Order: sequence, then C-alpha cells, then structure tokens
Amino acid sequence: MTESLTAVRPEVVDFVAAVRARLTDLSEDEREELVGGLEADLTELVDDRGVDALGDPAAYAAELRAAAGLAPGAAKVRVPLGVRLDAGGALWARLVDRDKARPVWDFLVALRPVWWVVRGWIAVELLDLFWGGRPYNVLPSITDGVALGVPLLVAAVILSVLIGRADVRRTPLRLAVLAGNLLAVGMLPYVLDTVEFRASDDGGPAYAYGWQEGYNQAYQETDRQRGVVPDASEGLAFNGRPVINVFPYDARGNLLSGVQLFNENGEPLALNKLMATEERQTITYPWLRSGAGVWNVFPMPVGPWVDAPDKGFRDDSAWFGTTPPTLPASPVTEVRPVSLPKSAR
Amino acid sequence: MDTTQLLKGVLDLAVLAVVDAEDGYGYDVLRRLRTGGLTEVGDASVYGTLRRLYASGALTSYVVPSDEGPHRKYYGITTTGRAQLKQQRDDWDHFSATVTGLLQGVAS
Repeated sequence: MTESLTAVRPEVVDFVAAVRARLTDLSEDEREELVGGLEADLTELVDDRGVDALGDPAAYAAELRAAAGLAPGAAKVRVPLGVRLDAGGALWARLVDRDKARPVWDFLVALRPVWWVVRGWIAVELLDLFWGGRPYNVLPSITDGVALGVPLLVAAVILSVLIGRADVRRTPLRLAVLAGNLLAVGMLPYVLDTVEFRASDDGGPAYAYGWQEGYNQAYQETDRQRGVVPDASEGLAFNGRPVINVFPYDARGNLLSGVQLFNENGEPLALNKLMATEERQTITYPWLRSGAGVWNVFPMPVGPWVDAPDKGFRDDSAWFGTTPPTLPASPVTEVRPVSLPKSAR
Repeated sequence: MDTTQLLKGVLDLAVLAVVDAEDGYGYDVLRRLRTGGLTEVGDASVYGTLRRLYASGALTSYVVPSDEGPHRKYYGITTTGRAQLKQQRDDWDHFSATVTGLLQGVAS
C-alpha cells in the first residue's frame, strides 16, 4: 500500500468544514469520529479523480449520517460565515494557482511585510487628512507638527505587523481584518494623491505659498521704487478715499475749468495716478504743460477705459484718437452763490 | 432492483472483509472496494460504515502521523469484528445459495 504524503488542498479543507457545519448537532467526539481523517482521504480522492469528485457537502453529510446509523440532520443548515470565508479563500487560492498568475502572486506574497507597513501608514495618514490640517506630508501630523503623528505612525505599523503575523481564527476578527485591508487598499489612491511627497524640512505647500507671496511683494516694491507703479498711499484724498476728480465753481456758482490747486505748503494738490479711474469705466487724463501731465489741474478730462495699466493708466494717443478725452459734466446740479463778510474784502 | 439496495445489505460484510485482509484508512478501504468491483459504492457510505463498525466494536482505529499533510486514521479488525465477519459470511453464503436455488428452480 502506497502512502502518498500530499499536503491538504484548500478545496478539501472547505468541503470538510462545510460537512462539519452540517454535523453541528452532534457532539464534538461524534463529529470528530465521522470527520477526523477525512481531509487526508479526500485529498487523495481529489488527487485521483479531480476536484469535482468532491460533490455537494450537504449530500455527503446526509450519506455519512445514514451510513453511520445517526439520525438525519436539519434540512436546512445555516452555513456559518467562517465557512463562507474559508470558501472565498479557497476560490482565491484556486484562481491564483494558474500558471500565469502563480509567479505574480508569489512575488506579492513576498512583499507582504511591506504591505503591513504601508497599511499602518495609510491608517495614520487618514487620521491626519480628516483631523489634521494642511500641509499633508509623508510624516503625518495630527495636530500642528509631527510630535503626535510620528509616535502614532510607529504604533500603527507595529500593530499592523502583529496583526499580519497573527493566526486569526475567530470569524468576527477575520472579518475585521479583511474589512481593514479592503479599506486600506481602497484609500491608497486617495492618500497617495493628497499627501505631498517632498522632504518635510521645507514645510511643503505652506512654504511654497509663503515664498510666492514674498516674491510678489518684493516685485511690487521694486516697481514702486522705479516709479513704474505708483504708491497707493500718495495723492489727493478726501475722508480716507482717493479723489478721482475735482469740480471747481466760482462765487457765483459757475463751473470753472483749468483750475490749478496748491496746498498751504505750495505743493500741488495732485491726484494719485493709480487711483485716477472710475472703476474701469472711465479714466481721467491730466492737463498738459509742455507735453508733460500736470496732476493738480481740474476738472480733469475723462476718456473711456483703456486696459493698458503698464503705461501708467494713460495713453497719450487718446488725445489724437477718434474719441479724445472731454471735460466731464459736473456731478453737482446746483451750486448756490457764496460770499465773504464785507470786512474780508 | 438496483445495486444500491443490494449493496446496503452487504456493505458491512464487504468493509469487514477488506479491513480483515489488511488494515487501511478510509480512502484506502474505499479504493479496494472499488477495484474489487463495487464501483457504485458511495464515499460517504463507506466512511459512515467504518464509523458504525468502530462504534459497535467490530473495528479498532489508530492514527498514523505523517510529516507532510494531515495524519491518517487507520482501521483494523477486532476479535469481535472477525466473529461478526465469519457470521455474516456464513449468512451470505447461505442466503445467496438459497436465492440462487430459487432462481434455478423457477427458471427450469
């Protein structure tokens, strides 16, 4: 008699488990009597006649009962979830055992410890993404800084490795581990997409943002110093707002034109060139003296908006175009005459 | 009548005879029954019978450990089993002779 020393196939394990499931009304001893040694025998049977020879575990259990002289079991048995999980595992093992798939799967299995580390990292990164703030780095920071994140990451990795190495038998735990793995795999693309992968020294996107801000401010400052962009705080203002135009009237209430204004120090009351626009609808143009603009002469002629801010908001060619700037109508409809007391004259 | 009915009657006898010839584990007994000509016998029936015979004391069992794969449960015949085998063999001889005689009588 030849003794074949074959390892037990997963399909056989599941078959026997399913048969056991239908013998749960028996005592442990009775069940063991019937089913003990069945795995080895059925493995040999499968070796001889193929997997399909196994048949239906329910029918097998019924036949076993009958031949053993036991009462027939319940007609419908609820297959325990653990057995179903085993069946799922056996199906996967069978799928993966094909010639093409085997080397790939063996390689992935060799990487299993790497997966334990990765899923621990994913778990902590998910915490960071939901509760921590930006930026999201490779080292998670639940609160500000990595003080909480790194120890949590170490703990998570250790726990993941322990779970990976443990032999989990009880069905609820098996379900929990399976769900955790599926969740980690599902979240992997999202986490990889959101986390910034650069050396955490430079602080990630916050650093980049700050750098850009600084650059912009420095650029504007040099422009100001070169006179390209006027300083927004300069020029004629009233009640904290920059003045765009001035409409002078004489004592009798007549609108004047070409009035040049100076303050008590003799400084011309010039408008801020930057502010001399009506919100992108019209632009004021200065009076000229020998071709140069003079900004304290009022009222200033008005022209249509020109989108050429780099030319100092003004385009000299506007004077010679089809629609040259014109003196605007006064916003004041009635200006009553004023007079000084007789002694001031 | 189909062979399954006949088989049920003599399965105990057949199994005892096979185990008496040489100790065997479940699948081994099954295989010997099959190669012996009982091709219709169901796997589960054989296992169940082995168990019943063991429970009634006609068979003894022992486990043979193996390095690869699971352990094997071997069955061997007991004194009770040998006695039962002899009794059932005599019954069978008597019974089959009676039936054969009846058939010959009817046919002729």
